[in-house]
Amino acid sequence: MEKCIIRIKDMSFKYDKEYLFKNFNMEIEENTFVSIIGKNGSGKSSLARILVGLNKYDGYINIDGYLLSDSYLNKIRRTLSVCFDNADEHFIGETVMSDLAFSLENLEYDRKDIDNLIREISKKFKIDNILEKSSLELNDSEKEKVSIASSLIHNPKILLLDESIHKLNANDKKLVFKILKEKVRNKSLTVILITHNLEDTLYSDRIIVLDSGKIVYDDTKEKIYEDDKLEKLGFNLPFIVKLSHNLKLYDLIDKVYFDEKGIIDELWG
Amino acid sequence: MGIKLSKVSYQDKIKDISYEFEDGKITSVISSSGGGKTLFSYLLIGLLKAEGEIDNPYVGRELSYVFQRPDEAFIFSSVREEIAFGLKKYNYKLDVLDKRIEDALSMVGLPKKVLDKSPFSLSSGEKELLALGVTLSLNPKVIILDDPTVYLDNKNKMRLSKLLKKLKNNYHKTIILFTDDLDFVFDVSDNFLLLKKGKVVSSGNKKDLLNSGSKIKNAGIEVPKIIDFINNVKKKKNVDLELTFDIKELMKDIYRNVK
Repeated sequence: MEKCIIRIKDMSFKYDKEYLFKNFNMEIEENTFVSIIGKNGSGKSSLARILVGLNKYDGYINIDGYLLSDSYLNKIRRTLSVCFDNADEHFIGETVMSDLAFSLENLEYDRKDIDNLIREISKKFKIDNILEKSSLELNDSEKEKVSIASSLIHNPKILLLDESIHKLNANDKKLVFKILKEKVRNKSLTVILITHNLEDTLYSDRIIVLDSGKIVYDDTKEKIYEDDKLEKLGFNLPFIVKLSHNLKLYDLIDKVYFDEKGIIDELWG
Repeated sequence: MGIKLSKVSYQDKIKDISYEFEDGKITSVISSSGGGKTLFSYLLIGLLKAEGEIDNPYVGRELSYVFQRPDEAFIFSSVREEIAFGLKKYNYKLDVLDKRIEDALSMVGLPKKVLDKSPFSLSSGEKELLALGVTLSLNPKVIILDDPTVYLDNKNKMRLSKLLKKLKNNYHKTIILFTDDLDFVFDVSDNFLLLKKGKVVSSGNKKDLLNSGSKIKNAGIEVPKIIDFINNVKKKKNVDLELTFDIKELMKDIYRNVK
């Protein structure tokens, strides 16, 4: 069992004079890949803003050993990196290169280390060919890729992605998730993915379902998708899960698959 | 007669597009992010000047545009004022004003209680619906939406799909979508236009779209998982399943095939 890297206890938060969260509890274990899903207005983005100190809350939140409060915010921002849904707003530097350098300069890294880290991450994210470009010259997919790369460049322990992968094109998405999964497997990153697109949850180990500021389900991916409970809540299940359920109904397979290959081999040997 | 483009280009980003958008239909312009969607939409409404010819008989309030980030178009501190703004500009009388505001709201399915809230306090799904409501209050003939489903959850997506179909069927609106959400495209649109690097690589009706799988992939767009699956079954096991977007149809086909 990994240790808890985020612990939220009895947290309350008001939005427009109404309680969005009341005595909310949640724990996230280190080096796991967790998806938080919810419909528009379920509170998932407010939760993200609370976790990075943008929304004031009542109660107790501990992130990697620090109490989430103004006095520890600087420490927490080193350990928890966030990517919001508007990659445009993220851009600070004039070029991709200077943008990638920005957080490192702030954290007072040596010039040499900065150059090395930029080289390393831009190769990984396949953005080494656009380092000299300004954000205006990038397409949306590139922008999101750069903003995720620059959130990861200083090797934070936690990466929080708030609806920030929807503009990635199919190839970039595959690449980004591959990088993230690998880091989780190497025990060097905890990923919290906030999304309304259930297809993306297939990458995660655990799924938390929020509705009106409350956790309605919190379980492994396997348990969450073993039946159609999320469909009943109005979610659109991932295709592979829907197909599995249908095939089970016809008695053609006997479990839910999360990859196409499994189903195809089972059906056509 | 619909909006007609002949040999439209813009810098090296839009290349030689000739197409006529059918009146009273829903047409989707599909392109990957970075493929020139937003730019193309700006040319269409005249925000940018294109080379070639765009024959657009709809001007002013006959044509309305919903931006990709509705926030950027909001300027007021309440939803009521936001909707009223356009209406006031066209000199609607005060007594009609309130009714039109409420009509616009109920048309997109937002509750009355949001009227006095700030548009910025709404969830992203509600913002998209509000932006559409604002334009509907002016009763345009053509509605152009740039990437309307990016921020919508499943429920709101179904709501938007229903609404667009209603606008077309009952009010004969012409609707043009710029998107790469193929599930949505297949759900709502009659015609499509597929762009790759600013060039048209395929166009036609819904049925043509089903057969454009490889072109879609080639243009860097995520093919619906169901199409991917059918193609992979063919590739890996040489089994022919009928192309469809409907999982029930696929199921029947698989059952026939396996049994």
